[in-house]
Amino acid sequence: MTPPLHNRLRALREARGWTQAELAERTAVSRKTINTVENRVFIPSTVLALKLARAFERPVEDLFWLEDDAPAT
Amino acid sequence: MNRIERAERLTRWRAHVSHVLGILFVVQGFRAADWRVIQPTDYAQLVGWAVWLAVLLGFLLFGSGLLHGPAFGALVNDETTAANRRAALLAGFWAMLLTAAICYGASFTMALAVRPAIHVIVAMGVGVALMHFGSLERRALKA
Repeated sequence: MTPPLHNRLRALREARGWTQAELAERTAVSRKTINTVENRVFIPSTVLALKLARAFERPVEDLFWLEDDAPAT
Repeated sequence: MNRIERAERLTRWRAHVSHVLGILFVVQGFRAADWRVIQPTDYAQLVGWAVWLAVLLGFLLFGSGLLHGPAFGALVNDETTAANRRAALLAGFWAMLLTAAICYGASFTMALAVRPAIHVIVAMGVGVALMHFGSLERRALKA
């Protein structure tokens, strides 16, 4: 069973004042994909996770963490 | 309208069309199960059904947006869509298996010809996959 993956994409995105569509444009995916990742409906691939980390200029562990793991700050 | 908005619009349209086509294909599959609708010798209708099946399978397996270029095609068929497509195909497989089991059971109590049974089994498999794909895509689009 895939362990639940938490993320703080929405918080980081909103802190930058980006819409889902703007983040989608920066990562070359659809807005639907951003939406499903933010809402934990969809677990992104490693490639997409790295693209998102690059868009926010943060390590990937800052964006995603496993349940029971404290989020990196 | 930028490419993200165009992709969104096309994805929304594809989700609705997929759902409607799935329903139509299931309904038509059950209608075709009656020999009064499609006679064994009505080859024009049988070929028409096969062509429609091929078109629907192409729509389901390869998606849309490819005519707008590879970059846009990749955008509207990104990893969420690929995951939804896999889930839809799995649902279609189980629907097909269940329908085949029901047809098998029904054959003990009624005369069930092979061709109508195949129509119903294929219609359920492809139709349920299309409907499920449409539902998953619409759910994914909701903010």
